[in-house]
Amino acid sequence: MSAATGFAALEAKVHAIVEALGRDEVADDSGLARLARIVRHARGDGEGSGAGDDERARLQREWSEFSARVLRELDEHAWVGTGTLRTRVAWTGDLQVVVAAGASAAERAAHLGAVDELLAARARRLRLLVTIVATARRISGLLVTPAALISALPVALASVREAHARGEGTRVDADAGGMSWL
Amino acid sequence: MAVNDIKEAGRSAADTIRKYIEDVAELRVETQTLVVGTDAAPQLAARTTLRLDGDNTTVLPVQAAATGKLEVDAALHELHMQHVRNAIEYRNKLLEVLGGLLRGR
Repeated sequence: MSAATGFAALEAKVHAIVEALGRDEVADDSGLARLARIVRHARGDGEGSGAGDDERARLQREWSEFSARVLRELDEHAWVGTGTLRTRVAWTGDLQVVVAAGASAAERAAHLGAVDELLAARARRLRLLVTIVATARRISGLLVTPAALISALPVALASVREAHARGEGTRVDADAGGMSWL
Repeated sequence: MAVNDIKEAGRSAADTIRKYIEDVAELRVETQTLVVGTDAAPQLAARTTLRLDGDNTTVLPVQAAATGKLEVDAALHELHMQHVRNAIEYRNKLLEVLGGLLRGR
């Protein structure tokens, strides 16, 4: 599955989840039911239990950790390669290449491939981030509370994670080593 | 979250976004050469700067031939230009993603 196809599948899944939350049609789907409880709680209706508060606090914490990690990554420069052939990569795509005489054509080609791979992974992460923000914008319409968009961001992250866990778009957040970013 | 916290978070996010938009307005690729076995700092050999407003500049790597004529260092230039192509491709994806955000995808 290509990254583009993976994203289309993931976004369709997220869309279906938000639609179901909007209609409050969660049936016996435990994942959706959990999200619906959080949305009701964020809206101020439904059960005002301590469990709801705990779950919201947990989601808020998860969002804070995730957004801090994202902002840190956007501010950091990554290095690809070492020693005689290395490239410093900014999130904007600015590159600083350092090369010593004598690097072979094969070494240069391998290095360019590694830089390309890192840039592709970053592009996927940015798209994933935009998917979360776009999802938050839609969920904020369900909340109708002051600062609904900010309140919706943790729920949006949980919704995208839920969609991701449902087996679609499995490549969209993995880096070259297969590590998950989401 | 208190109202002041929300306002502060909103202001901080707006500042961050403004900085990112400024950063995206220019794409810069630099290639430096390094002499192995010395403590000398890497020397700038080539630089390409592309701006969204279309103002682009390129510094090319050259070396003196036996005749004294300056010639472009082909291998270094090719490595630099391949990095420029990679960076442009990434930047196009980045702008597409940011455009999706502005369109409210």
